[in-house]
Amino acid sequence: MNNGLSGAAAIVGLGISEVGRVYGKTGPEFAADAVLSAVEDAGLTLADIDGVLMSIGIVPDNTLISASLGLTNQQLSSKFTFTTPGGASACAAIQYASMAISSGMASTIVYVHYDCPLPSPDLSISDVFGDNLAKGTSGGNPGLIGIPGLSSAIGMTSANQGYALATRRHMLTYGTTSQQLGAIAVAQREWALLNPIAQMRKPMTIEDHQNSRWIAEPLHMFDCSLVSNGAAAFVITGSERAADLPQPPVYVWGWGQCHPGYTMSKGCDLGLQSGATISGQLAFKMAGIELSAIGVRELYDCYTFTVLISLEDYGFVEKGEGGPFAASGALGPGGSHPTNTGGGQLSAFYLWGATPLYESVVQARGHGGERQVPNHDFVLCSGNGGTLDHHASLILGANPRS
Amino acid sequence: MDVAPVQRDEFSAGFFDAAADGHLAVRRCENGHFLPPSVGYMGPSLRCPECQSPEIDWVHASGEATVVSWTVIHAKDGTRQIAGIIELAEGPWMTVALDLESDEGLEVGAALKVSFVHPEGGEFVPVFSLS
Repeated sequence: MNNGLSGAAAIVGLGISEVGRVYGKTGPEFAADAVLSAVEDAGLTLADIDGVLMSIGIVPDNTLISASLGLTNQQLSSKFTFTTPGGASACAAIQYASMAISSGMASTIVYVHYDCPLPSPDLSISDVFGDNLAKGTSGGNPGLIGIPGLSSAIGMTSANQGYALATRRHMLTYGTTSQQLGAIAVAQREWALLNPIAQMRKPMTIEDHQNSRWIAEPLHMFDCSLVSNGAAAFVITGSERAADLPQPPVYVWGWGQCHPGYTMSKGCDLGLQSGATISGQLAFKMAGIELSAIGVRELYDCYTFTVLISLEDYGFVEKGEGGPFAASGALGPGGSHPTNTGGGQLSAFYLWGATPLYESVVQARGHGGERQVPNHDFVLCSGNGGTLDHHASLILGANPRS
Repeated sequence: MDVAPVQRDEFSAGFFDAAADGHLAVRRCENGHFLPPSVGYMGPSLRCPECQSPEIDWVHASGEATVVSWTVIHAKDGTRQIAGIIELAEGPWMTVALDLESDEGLEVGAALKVSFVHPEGGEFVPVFSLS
């Protein structure tokens, strides 16, 4: 099953800027902090870097991070966009970096994700982008022009409403409840309490979740990700070189992507079936391991619902059983299926796919401290973009392929 | 119901011309396949997804539809709006405002019919209510 690339590259450096409701820097400045931190963590210098991959979050930015850091003669440089593959960019970046390293195109690559949607402590995200009627074209909002404008005009102004429609469909079809989604939020908050850099450090109950204000029914505020400023960066190199570096290498065992291409017509399964199914099958086939080998799950959680549908579509539970599974306590500390062990985007910080990827590396290294999952030989990391339009998977291993 | 004024662009001109005449328009290719007006927020289909024909026109739809899913959107100012994914009788989905007092008792498959609102300074916009 091994395609020759499984285990050939490893994540050897991990860096993060100040993250959360932190101010006074631009997105690229956060990115620079994270890159320098990751390169130092890897025991390398900028002179060792010959490839750069970038992704941004909500706020568009055209800064060329490599040149602004003084990185010259890069042999690879690309930036992922807001929509494609959006939240799947982090997993995709590790995949493409691994392939570039295996092909000899570059030897040591840094990937950075950055965002700065909160300009000051006085402004909320809805102050910046509007929560009711369209105010512009930022944040994926198409404005009030043409067919896409029909959605903006009726209040479909952000990702929240589209995910609400997808979530409702799952509820109507399988009987999933808001309380079951709340169990995901509560489990992740329990993990966040063990994470010193998490934004949300107060305990949460199901009642707190149920009492949090409606954003777009059936989604409460605590079903939705946070908003964060900051950046996270990752250094990837070949596995042979990785063995000589100071940090425990996190080997890239398997990957896959799936972009469902929802038809938005009769028979479309939006909200019922995601790209996690095919993306996961590809990743497990490449890694040559079974689902049961996974000790840690870091699943993209722009909303509680994406965790639920990913658990189902990867096959951890039968289709439609994600709600009762979450409510059983399986996902939290001490549960049978530790998931989003840093608190995720719901309770730690919102750096899109870099949030689950960051925690994947922490766990695979065994550096999770109080929240470390004992069985961390294999970590499943997922990314999701658009309204379930893009899905990417990584299987990361604490050990090299023998 | 709070619907903001929408401006036309070249692609949507046929849709809004029909709306001004009281008709819901749907895209149909030369081979008779119906297309959704947009595919999520990724924009319109560039070709008919079934036959790849580039010859696609706006034609009048029946205006009949059924409920696929819905959300009650809560704005910070306290206003609410019910929006839904609907399936037109012709097959394509649209995301539209649902003109309902409440979503209590609403079910998948509930029959809907189109009407139009005309926000000042914008085009006619379709809204759907229970038929």
